[in-house]
Amino acid sequence: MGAGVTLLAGADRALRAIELVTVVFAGLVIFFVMWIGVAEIFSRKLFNFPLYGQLDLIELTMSSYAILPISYCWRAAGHIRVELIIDLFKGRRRWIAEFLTSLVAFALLSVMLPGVFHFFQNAWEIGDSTINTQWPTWPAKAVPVVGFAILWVRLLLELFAYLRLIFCPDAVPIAIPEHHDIVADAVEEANTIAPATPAREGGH
Amino acid sequence: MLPIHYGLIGMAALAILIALGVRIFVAAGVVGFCGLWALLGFSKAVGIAGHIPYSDTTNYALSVLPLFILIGHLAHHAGIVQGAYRCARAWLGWLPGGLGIATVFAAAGFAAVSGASTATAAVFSRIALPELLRYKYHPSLAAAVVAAGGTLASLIPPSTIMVVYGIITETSIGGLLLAGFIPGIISAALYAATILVRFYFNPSLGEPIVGVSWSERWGTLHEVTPIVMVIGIVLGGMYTGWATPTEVGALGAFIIFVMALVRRTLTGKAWLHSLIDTAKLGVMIFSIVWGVLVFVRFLAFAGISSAFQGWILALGVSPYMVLFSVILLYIVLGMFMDGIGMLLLTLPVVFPLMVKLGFDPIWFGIIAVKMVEVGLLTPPVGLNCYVVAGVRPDIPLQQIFRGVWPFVVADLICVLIFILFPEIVTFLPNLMMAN
Repeated sequence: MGAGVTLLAGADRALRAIELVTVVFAGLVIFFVMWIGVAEIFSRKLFNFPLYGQLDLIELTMSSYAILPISYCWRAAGHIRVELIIDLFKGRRRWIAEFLTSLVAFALLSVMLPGVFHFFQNAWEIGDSTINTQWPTWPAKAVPVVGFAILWVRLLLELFAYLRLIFCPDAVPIAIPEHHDIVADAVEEANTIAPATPAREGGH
Repeated sequence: MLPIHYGLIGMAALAILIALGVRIFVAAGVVGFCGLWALLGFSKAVGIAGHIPYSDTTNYALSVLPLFILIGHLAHHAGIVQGAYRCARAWLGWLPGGLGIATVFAAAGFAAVSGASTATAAVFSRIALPELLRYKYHPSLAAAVVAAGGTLASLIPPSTIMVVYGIITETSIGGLLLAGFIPGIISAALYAATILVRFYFNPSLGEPIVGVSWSERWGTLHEVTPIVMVIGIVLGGMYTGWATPTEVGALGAFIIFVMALVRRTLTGKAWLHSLIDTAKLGVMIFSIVWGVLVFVRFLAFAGISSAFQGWILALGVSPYMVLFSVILLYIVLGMFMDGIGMLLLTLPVVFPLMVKLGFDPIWFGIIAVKMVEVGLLTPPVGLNCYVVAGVRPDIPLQQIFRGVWPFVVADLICVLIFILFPEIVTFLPNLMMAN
């Protein structure tokens, strides 16, 4: 059991590092798109010179933030769900319920991956390109394959993590989504922007 | 079994999976895939489902979404909330319930640079709530003002939820953003009126602010410059058509970014966090979009939408009767579900019906988003109330829920006004079209 847990924790750490890379990359792409948008406005309005291919460029970058960090979001429990019923379960029952919801996600990803890969493969084989600029689309279409593959591995890991918790419900949970909820996140963000001062907090 | 039967089973399965806690994009995607499999065979289902995530999310029109989210995240670090609050406080504090009214209008101002309701409620809980309590506002009222004020971000552009509505219904995002402005102001005014009425009958609910000089008031005006600039860019850009929503979003984010740099309020770490949070929220929304679109493709093959329209039209009831039923549905769903999930799941069926009944797509968008705002306040899952209680654990949640009812009533009055006078909503977008 000990070796299995070490392996699970190690795999989780490695995957977290990869997921962090995907989300940082996605964030930087969004920041880049901001600059492209600003440059396009200034170039078009001030110099009457629209940027060549900015529309195609923005579309080609979109899968990098619309799909690539999907696994990071999963790990951070960022994908929304209705928690009223599942929150009623505690202990082993809760882990069984979580295992089943993850199993549904694993099944979906397992059937989506071949389709997403085939879509990319098709673009690669026929040399698909954007209409105006003739830029190849396969790199952008490869991104969803990577994003989905990472999530597939994440879900596989998670199923093992929940199985472990079903057999040992009191063990320290590892490799499962961090359920610090939206409220906690909002509170944390408010704290970073306007830290609570003891005098104003009425002493609590 | 007819395709329509598969469709009905699929809708029931979706409701059950969501209720059981399966993530919304997974539930929609799985049911959509199984439906396509049943109707068209496995390999066709794999092919159709496999191209939707890329094809339906990498469309230029959708690239506005992360930029609007980015504006909000950067605005948090640019000291804009504090500035807006100081300004509103100086100008409106003298009124009965003035500090509460100032909170509402400062939240409306902040909504003009942020598209996220919960984030707005959280920040105002930290900045405005201590002030309200210091002026002896009843905690229940003070917390409710903050929770309700936060919801204004859904309606006032740049609004994330409005963009999501535009994506799923293929309605003009520019038109929707313009349309949200006046209803947003009216909502804020009705919240302010609610506070005024409460103070008229019970002045002891809180103390007024006295002794603010005119020079102090004028001195706070520069604090709202970034807000005015972003409003000007978003509305001006949409109205005159000189920029696409994406470009407007980029310019808005750029201005707030520069403002934060100039004020030295944005650290490198905060900048990176803003980008990561933007990407995280963005991928969450995009995932639901493609999940729901797999489901929608299945519904189209099953002929659910047209069958549903046929049933409703055959009933021969007034379109307004149907509208009120939909509003009732949203009130109930809003009690349990997140707004984005609620809209994305219902719109594929509800929206075509509303258009068929003769309602304007943009106008219905505002009604739907207004109902999302109501859902942010109503128990048991009124998210904004939870956020306020999260920041201020000393104010019990039940007390906050008790305090928000007058604001929920104000919201419903708002919806009634928009139904009676739809021109309030359609006026600006129609002007834009005429241009």
